[in-house]
Amino acid sequence: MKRIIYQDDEGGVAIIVPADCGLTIEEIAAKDVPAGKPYSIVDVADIPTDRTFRNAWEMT
Amino acid sequence: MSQHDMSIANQGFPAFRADLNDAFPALASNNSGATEPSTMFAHQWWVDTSATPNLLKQRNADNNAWITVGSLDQAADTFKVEVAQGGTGSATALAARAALGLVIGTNVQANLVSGTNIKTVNSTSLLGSGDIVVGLSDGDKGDITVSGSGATFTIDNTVVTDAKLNLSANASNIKTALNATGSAPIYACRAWVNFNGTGTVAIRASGNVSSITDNGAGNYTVNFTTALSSSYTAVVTLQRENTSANFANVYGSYHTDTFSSSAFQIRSMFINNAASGYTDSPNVSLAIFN
Repeated sequence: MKRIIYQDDEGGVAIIVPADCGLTIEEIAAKDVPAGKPYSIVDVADIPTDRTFRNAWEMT
Repeated sequence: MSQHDMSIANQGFPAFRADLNDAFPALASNNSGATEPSTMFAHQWWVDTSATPNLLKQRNADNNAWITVGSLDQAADTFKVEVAQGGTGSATALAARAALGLVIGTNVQANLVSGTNIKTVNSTSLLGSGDIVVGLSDGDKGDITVSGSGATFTIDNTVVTDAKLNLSANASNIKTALNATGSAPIYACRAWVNFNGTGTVAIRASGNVSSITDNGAGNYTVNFTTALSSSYTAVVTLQRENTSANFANVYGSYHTDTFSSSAFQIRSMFINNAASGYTDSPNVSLAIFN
């Protein structure tokens, strides 16, 4: 399973969770990532599961 | 049953009388017999008893063939008109329809063409129960009504596209199919999703949703696969508290002030007598009407 991540306007991290909608992960990224924002496609295992400090996450 | 060559020979009186006594019954019985009369005349009648039911035939004007006029059911004592079924042209169909005594209703095409507009017609009242097959081409217009208990309407080998299927808004049969009663119109849910907003955020099930964006704690955006027709929507949401310790909290949803036809932002909140804020929810449901 994959996730799409990009830096939001506040400097935090937005994580896109794809639905089973018939679109590829690339098509979802092209459609749902705000225009002009760079993004990365990562494995779901790379996303922390401890969300205690979710709002403090940053992209590295 | 008898037949005669209808020729009285030059003969003596006893033979002449016997010849007449053979000819008159033949005339009276329409030359009935299992084989055609030995001598035939144009427009001559013949009841062919070789067939079951017997067939009433008339010789054609050229005196080279028989025209079947109808059938005589000797068991039921009934007569049925023979109808040419393979002909073409409105005249043939109209004549056949008139011969059968069909009642022309408002939904019957005025000039039916056998073999073209009507492929096969079996009527319960005339020919016994069975299928009614109507061959239509693209562009043909008219009503097709199927009535009767248990009757079904099948469009064979045809994909019914939007262009070929016209349903009126608020159609009562659609309501019936959806278990909706009353006269109030029905509106459809245009997008829905159920997802886990905690731990590894994941979508459990959805419709017309391409993804959700995890923006932060208790902050999600639902992205639609196909945009809605308007950005002004009615949204139904539900969140469950994330831990049993928060059972006293009040949870609600909140969206940003910016309306969009392609996405909807939802926030999961808790409020209690001590604090309030955004929090992840393990079970977020959202349905959008538009």
